[in-house]
Amino acid sequence: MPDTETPTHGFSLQAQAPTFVQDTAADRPVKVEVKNLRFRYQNGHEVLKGIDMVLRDKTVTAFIGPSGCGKSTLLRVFNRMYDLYPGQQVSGEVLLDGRNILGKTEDLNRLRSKIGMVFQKPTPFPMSIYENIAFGIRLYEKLSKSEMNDRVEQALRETALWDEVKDKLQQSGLGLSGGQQQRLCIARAVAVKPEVLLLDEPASALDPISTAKVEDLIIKLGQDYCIAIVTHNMQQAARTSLYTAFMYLGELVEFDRTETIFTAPKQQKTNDYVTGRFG
Amino acid sequence: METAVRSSIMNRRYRRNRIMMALAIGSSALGLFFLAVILATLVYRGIDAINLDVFTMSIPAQGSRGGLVNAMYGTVVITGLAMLIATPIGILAGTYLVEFANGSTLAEAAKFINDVLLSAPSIVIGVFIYGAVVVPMHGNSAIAGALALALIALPVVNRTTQDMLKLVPNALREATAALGAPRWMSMTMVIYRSAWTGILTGILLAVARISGETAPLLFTAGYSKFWNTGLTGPMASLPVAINTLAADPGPDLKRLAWGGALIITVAILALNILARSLAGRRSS
Repeated sequence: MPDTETPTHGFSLQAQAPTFVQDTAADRPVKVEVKNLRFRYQNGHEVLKGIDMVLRDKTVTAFIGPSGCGKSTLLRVFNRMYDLYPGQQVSGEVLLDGRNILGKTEDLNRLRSKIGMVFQKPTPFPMSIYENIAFGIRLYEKLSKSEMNDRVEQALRETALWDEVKDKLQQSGLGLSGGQQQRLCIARAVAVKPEVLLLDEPASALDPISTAKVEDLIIKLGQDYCIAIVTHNMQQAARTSLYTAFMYLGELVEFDRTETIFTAPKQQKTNDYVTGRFG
Repeated sequence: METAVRSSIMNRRYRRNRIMMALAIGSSALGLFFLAVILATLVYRGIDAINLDVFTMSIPAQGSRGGLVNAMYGTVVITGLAMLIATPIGILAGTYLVEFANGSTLAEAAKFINDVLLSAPSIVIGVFIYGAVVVPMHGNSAIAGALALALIALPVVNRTTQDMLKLVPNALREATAALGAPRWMSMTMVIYRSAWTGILTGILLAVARISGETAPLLFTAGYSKFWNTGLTGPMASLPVAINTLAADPGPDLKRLAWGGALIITVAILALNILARSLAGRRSS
């Protein structure tokens, strides 16, 4: 790849070329499959116009695209978040391990125990750090005090938060810094042992150092979970994901290996976006 | 170099600022002045009546020893009973309107009517309970008084609950749902937990509001000089006792009325301060 073709958008602050997630192994099995997915808001506006794509197991997939392209909406279909609001219509299929989850009879609480989500703004619950993690675990498991302690510690270690909070587990989660709160939320999601993790711009409200920590965490968790991340930050998509989906105006323009999307996209629109000509 | 026009515009602005500032400070001072006068008058005229008897004996006849303990007891019982009725209904109604009604027409109408009730003259509510409860029961009763006060407290609790729940960020609801928590758990474990200081503040303010009400009690709970604990009979309350004693020509009774006024004012002031400090804890 000649150097002149390296896209510059989003990388301009760094002199060196981007490092992409390298995975020479064969593609992992498909975890989630999206078939002709359409989504309409209550006001009739169609925000997803027939999406077809897959999320692979133990792989990070990034969703990029300009604001309003439908990437967050797509993410919120995977755990049926839209069900909280009346009048939103969805058609098509989302298959989790081959089973359609968009059916009317789907047990949403069970579904959401398998598909965890982290939001743009940190959302710690108004309770202690310990309870923030234990809350989710208690929804699905009956554990003894010591087992629960282990699980909480495990979740906090997994998110590299343990050393920072181990002496103040009984303090309010609201007292943590923004970056710590966000990692607490990731720990909370991981603690219930989900199969899929949805991250909706998880670092966009954080400072650069916290962002770097969260990104490291995403890369690490990507080895164990099927992760979908929505981001406005191209560097982040490049650094954390193996696959990238570029969306525009409710359509999936291009879906490929992240390195391909950023260095040799097949669509002009993708090229324009990743090189910063629009968006 | 400042031009003459610019300088005159600036000067005018400063002048206007000084005038408005003076008006604002003056208005605050005026309000505080009357508050201070009222408090000073109450202390000056009521302090004489404050002694052990006030807290241990019932309302006397002119010329004999006595106190206000039956009226204080009445106020506590009637107010407590009223809050016992109004709090759960108010919180549940407010929860329904914000969390579950999804802006339906019925909910919007209920919100509007609640706001109308919020500003309904309390004597009207007293008359309503008189017709609805006192007449069928053939007489004044503590229960009737509590129902009247509950009707006044209910819209306050309901409205505060609505306002406080609306302050809870939606992201918190989504985050709880995203963990797979059922709706009732989300409400009780997360949403109420982040709103409870605000709701409690509303409840305390409602208590402060109804414990000083006179009009709705005049012909519902009525008045009694005696130590009455039966809820179905007439029961004195501080405001009604003050109203009755102040109209009595006997000087001892008038002084007792002043004492009662001082007690209830201090009590309500304390409640308000408590509510404020809770609200302050919330914002910090």
